[in-house]
Amino acid sequence: MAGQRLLMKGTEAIAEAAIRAGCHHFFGYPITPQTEIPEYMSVRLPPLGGTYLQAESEVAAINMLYGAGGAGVRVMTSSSSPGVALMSEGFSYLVGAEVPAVIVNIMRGGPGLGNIAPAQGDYLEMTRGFGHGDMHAIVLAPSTVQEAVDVMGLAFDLADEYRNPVVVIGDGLLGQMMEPVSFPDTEPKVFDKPWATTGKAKSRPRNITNSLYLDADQLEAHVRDLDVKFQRMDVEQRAECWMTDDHPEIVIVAYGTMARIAKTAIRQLRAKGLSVGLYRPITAWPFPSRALEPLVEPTRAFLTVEMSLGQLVQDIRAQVGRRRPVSFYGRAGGVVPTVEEIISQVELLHASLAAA
Amino acid sequence: MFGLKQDWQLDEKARHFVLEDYEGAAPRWCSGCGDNAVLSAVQRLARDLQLVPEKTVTVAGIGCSSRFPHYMKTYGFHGLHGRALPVASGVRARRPDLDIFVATGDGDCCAIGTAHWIHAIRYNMKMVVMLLDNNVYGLTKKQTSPTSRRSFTSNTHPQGSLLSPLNPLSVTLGITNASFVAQTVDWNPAHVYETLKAAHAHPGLAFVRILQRCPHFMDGHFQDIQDDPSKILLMTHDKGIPIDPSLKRLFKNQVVHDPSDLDAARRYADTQDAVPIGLFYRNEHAERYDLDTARGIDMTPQQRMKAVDAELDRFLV
Ligand SMILES: Cc1ncc(C[n+]2csc(CCOP(=O)(O)OP(=O)(O)O)c2C)c(N)n1
Ligand code: SF4
Repeated sequence: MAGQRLLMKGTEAIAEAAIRAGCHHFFGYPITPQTEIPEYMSVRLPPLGGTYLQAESEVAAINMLYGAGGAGVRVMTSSSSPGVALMSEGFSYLVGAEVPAVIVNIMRGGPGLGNIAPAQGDYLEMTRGFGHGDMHAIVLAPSTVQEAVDVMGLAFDLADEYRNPVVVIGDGLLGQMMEPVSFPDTEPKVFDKPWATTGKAKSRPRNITNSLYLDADQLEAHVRDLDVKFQRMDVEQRAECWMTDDHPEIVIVAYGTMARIAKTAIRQLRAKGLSVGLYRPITAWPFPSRALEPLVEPTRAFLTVEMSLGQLVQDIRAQVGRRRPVSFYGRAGGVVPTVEEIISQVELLHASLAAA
Repeated sequence: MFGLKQDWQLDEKARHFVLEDYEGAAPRWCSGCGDNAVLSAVQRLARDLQLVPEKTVTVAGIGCSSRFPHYMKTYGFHGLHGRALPVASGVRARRPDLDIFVATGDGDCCAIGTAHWIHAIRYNMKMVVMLLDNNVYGLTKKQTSPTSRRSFTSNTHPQGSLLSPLNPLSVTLGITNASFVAQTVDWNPAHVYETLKAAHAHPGLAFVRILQRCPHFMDGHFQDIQDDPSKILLMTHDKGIPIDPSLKRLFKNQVVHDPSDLDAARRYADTQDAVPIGLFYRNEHAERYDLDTARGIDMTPQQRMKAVDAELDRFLV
């Protein structure tokens, strides 16, 4: 199996990658378009001696994660936008109590019930500290099924390393597409978890999983400690710069499935003689500023393309500032910008640069 | 003049509503889905009671059954998964003049909405709550529901569900201040109709569990009780659901149950030998939260402003 190529659907590959990363405990509630993840877990986990539990709601699921994660095991849940939103309170407690866990959000059209079509409208919700209080969490945004597999392993390691939940975001297209993938053949990393509530040895004080600090000074000290940790996470920045070595005139910014569509557009634009490249965040948080910075000077203009009405573009504008124009093209409600739409946006931008 | 009001022509004409006045979008449920039968019962009831369409609202959560509001040509509220009851309570809290029908599913009400279910029953605001119980999650394509039978194989329990089903009737009858609890089956239109009619007449929250067929994912699930009427226990009483003589002939297995007897109601709700249908419990004098929340509804804006000012006066320096 390991090392071999398998043809799998995104959702199923995500589930399998989690299992291979040593996560044998899944708690979740059905919601389209990601129900294949819990369904896959329900088949795979019981024979492994793991736990698959269909909770009565997403609120229950995140708190089951809190409990099992607090007991020191690798835990995961998955949901889609409205269901993930219900998890934000519990998520904040996981951060406050420093309990590792992985949460997958296969985003769908919103707001409200919206629809079940692919979308990227939860970017800001996920990246601005998904939960109340001063908090952050690493957010990974894979763009292919193989990359989804790779980031799942990474997500569990990062969660354990930083003792902080990690979010993986995808859109419905990533979840539904079938692609050949291979799984890593390495054993999952094992982390020492002396903080876990696993039964107390006489030699140590008892562990209490907690996020309550009534005393303001104590809470501030705790939040400052967490903040030091969030700053340390900055080293986890990951991004892909594609076709940017020749300093293209225009750089398209996109993540997830949107970036794949952008790549197709870029190939066609290059065939027409336009000079275009791609900057693709893989960590939506921490925002991969270090990879973007060297692109700013040589690029004449940026075009951010999203399945939303403008969320990632806010991070790009914050960094690029007035140095270069950053334009935006997005579709919402489950409508996906097409290759043709991107091409015509780039051609317009190119024309306006030529005229300037 | 001659006994006629000057503006007599502005008087609302007497309106008469026919079935079409309650028929909204064409239902997109599967053919043979029990939801269709319940919808038509509600539409007939609305017509027979001449409910004013603009004074009627259908509230739902999310699920197949929760598409109900789209199919009624009344006001509708397609809310959040699990939250139909708080939404309906919000409507009721300030609009005592509306007729409220709530459509909810077994996942919607008995899984994600459980906390709301318990409190809505306790609030006892006047509304008809129809729990369309197909023992499965239909909309999300066959996952286990809390009311699924034990060992039921679904997409989330391929080895069979592990627990015995939750009984929505026993739960509801166990909640403090429950005031109307009944059960019916979608395949008996006459009983559905009479049950909903009694529910609508009840001054409080009327909880009606309707066993609902889902031919798409649960083909033949209720076939045994459909084929063999003796598997149904018809609860009768002159204070219960009025029973047509033909029903009495069909359901030979009958018991006289006084719906004011809560202990007996709970015993019948727990019956394993047969599926009881009819009225388990009714208390027309239970406390009602909506009587309190609607207080002051007829205050004028001037009266309200005065009350606001009176409160602020306390902070005068
Ligand atoms: C917060 C949230 N979680 C999950 C869902 C997905 N979802 C929609 S309906 C449903 C269950 C439907 O089952 P049920 O209430 O029994 O109604 P049925 O479709 O069988 O009529 C689920 C899980 C959602 N819409 N919102
Ligand atoms: S899936 Fe089942 S519950 Fe949903 S419409 Fe079809 S028959 Fe009805």
